[in-house]
Amino acid sequence: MKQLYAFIIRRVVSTIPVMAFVALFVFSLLYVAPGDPASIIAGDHATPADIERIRQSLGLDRPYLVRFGEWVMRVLQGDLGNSIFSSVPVAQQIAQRIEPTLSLMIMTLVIAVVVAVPIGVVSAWLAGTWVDRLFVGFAVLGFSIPVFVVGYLLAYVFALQLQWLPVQGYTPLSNGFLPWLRNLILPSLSLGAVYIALIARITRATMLEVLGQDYIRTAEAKGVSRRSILFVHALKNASIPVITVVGVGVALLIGGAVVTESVFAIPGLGRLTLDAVLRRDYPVIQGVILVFSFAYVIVNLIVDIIYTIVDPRIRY
Amino acid sequence: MKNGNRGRAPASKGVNRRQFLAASLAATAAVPAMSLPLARPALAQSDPSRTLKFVPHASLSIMDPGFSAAGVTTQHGFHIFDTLYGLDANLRPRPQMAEGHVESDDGRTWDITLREGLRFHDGEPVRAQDCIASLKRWMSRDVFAKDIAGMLDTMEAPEDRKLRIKLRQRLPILPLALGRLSPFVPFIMPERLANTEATTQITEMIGSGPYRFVADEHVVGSRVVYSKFDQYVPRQEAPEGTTGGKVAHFDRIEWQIIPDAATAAAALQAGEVDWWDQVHPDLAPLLAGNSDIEVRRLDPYGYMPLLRFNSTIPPFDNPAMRRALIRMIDQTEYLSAITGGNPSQFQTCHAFFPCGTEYGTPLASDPLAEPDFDAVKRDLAEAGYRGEKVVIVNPSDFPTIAPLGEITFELLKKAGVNVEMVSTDWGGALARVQNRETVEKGGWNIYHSWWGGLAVSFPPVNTMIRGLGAKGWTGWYESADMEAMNSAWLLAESETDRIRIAAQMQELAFREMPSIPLGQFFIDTAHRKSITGLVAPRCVPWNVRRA
Repeated sequence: MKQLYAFIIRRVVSTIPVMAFVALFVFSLLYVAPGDPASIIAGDHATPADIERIRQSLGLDRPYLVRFGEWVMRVLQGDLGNSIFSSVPVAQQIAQRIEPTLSLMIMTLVIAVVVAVPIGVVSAWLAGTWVDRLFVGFAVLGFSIPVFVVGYLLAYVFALQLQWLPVQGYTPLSNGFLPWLRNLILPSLSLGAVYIALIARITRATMLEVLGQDYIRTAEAKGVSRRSILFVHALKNASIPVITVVGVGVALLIGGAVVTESVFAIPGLGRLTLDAVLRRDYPVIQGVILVFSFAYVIVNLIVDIIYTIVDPRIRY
Repeated sequence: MKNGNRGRAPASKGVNRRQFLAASLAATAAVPAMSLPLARPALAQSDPSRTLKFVPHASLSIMDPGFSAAGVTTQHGFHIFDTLYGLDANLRPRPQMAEGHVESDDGRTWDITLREGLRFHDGEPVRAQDCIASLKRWMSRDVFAKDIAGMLDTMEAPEDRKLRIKLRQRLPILPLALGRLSPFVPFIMPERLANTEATTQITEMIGSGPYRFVADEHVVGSRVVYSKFDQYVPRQEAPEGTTGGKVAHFDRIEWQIIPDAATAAAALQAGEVDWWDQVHPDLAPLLAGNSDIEVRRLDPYGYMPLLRFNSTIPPFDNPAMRRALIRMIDQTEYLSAITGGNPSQFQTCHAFFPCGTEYGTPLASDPLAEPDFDAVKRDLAEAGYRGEKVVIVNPSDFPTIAPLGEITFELLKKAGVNVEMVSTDWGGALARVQNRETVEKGGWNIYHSWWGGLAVSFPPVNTMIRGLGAKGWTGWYESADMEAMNSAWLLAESETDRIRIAAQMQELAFREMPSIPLGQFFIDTAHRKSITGLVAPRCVPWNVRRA
């Protein structure tokens, strides 16, 4: 365990240069990207003089290095700055939005793993049968249909026609577990469709490989039950690639959350990012990307740790 | 690294791993809970029947209506601020916060008396000093207000409830200016806030209107909450436009920002919201077919799309070149493209002012009457077109503007013009059209946009034709003659004179062609039938009630 803790500390420390690079890259990218928040604030109607005055009042007329330096100094003090548009602190906006996004991602992950892993296992066990073909077909469908189409279809059927679930919105967990859950089911299913397909395909492929191993044959010869072979002997050894995909898929979820949050009007970080990018709200974009990149690094760290739990042969 | 099998760990470490896993899961589960105190705004519990759930047409990112001209910001402004004058259904001014006014014999001094009992949401009384500061801020930003400022001598507050405006010239249309409906609206705010420069945003929302802004429930880009201002004293007259009694029937108004039109329509159908501000034309028939929903047109003036020339660089620095293109325009083609081809959502309008108003009349010799491509080619050649590159800047993410650019692009190609389309997002387009350089240095020649009909309903506010040059709207058309006529309109003594002058301005605009008007389209509003009392022409919260 001492080695593991040392590894965690090393990894956490190694995020610092990564985050610094991300910060520099994003700041530079926004600097060279076309568009000007002062023009957007002033609107279509504004005169050049109005725009210039707004630009000055926002400090956007100052040189790149000065602005970058000031931003870095503020970030080091824990201050992500204020939105150019709403003047609300970026940290406050992120704090307001983090719960819906985190809820959506966790719920999606849970649904995806709970649905996809058994599908992958059963599909491998019954490889070549109609059940397998059906599952593979569903997986292809999951990959092929865009998230927003799945979202609209689910909303149409379960919210508009059957009226089982709400069409849109988010209810904080503090307002009750059931209202929170009701608002999350449809977005999680639509966001999870691709994810379910991905995990099911990987699980099936790795299970097929593992089921051909000698020790599985030995277990069968010893009379171990089929369920035990599948879910204890085989799945455990097939889980490393699955865990990898789950980890990598977090990036997929972050991207998908932008669309899902827009379709279901969930006030999460994805929508905040989209709105900020469209408006060129630089401090918000920089703040959100820093948070996302930090989250991604942490998720990868967690995945590495889980490897050691699932497979004791792995150590750092 | 993820598959890094760097060595063998003793199998006996299993118990520790489980402990670690349990701790990790517990930490993961705790994260949402930990975020709650930060994430959870104060959610007031109230009787749902006393709450109006409203979906605005855009996200409210800027709250200061004196800082941003965004329509949604102005709409927000009408919830919490009030104006000295308002405009009735015929766009005629009537006192609103003002009890009335006395005009001196020479028409240069206006004594405006404030109604009794007006209070700001912080409890302070509304004073003439607040009005002076608010009007000064407005005059530093609004194009019409700048015209007024040019004629202003002084503004004084001889008493707390009396505002004295002294002008250098007689100005009969002063109440019209003070009752503007479209950006920038001269909302009255406390002096301490109104003293902020108009190019700096005010974030403390203190007005004297029928609803107050609930700051601690505001989630930027998601939810805006207003509560009834109990100390508001409405006028006794029936509500009409932005005049009359602004009675708040709901205790609470919640704006729910729903960025996706299909989701907003579904939410309205499911009864999750009461009122959707602007229905997407494609979805209007669907909603109209729902027996619980009413789709209606509150704003008869609609929106006026236009083709804007950059009048400062070749080839369209030559008025003959701009004029040459008008014969390629078929307004129906443009209007169909942005309304899904639904003829009930648009009308052709061969005028620079909205058709249906006193000024919105086509010329007798209507240059938009019939498209003629031979005439376009001939006129271009006569104007001296030598194949110079023409750049259209087109915001591809703006569904009611992007098709306009695409149509013009095809028409110019057909006319033999060397045309290039620069497609970008709205933010990129706005930045690009501020570039006054040549096209080789990032400039532009043609841009499309639209204005609310109310926003261009009379000459001083009609930036499609104003000739202010570098001080005016993008395209920077400059015309001393046009500005002289605008001044004459401001000082005209009668409505008959104003209509005549406006017609002359329109004639000049068709001769010099700073823009080409592309007609008029309409956007309907939709609400549950349980909601009544909507007041045209804007989606405003007063008088609205649950049946």
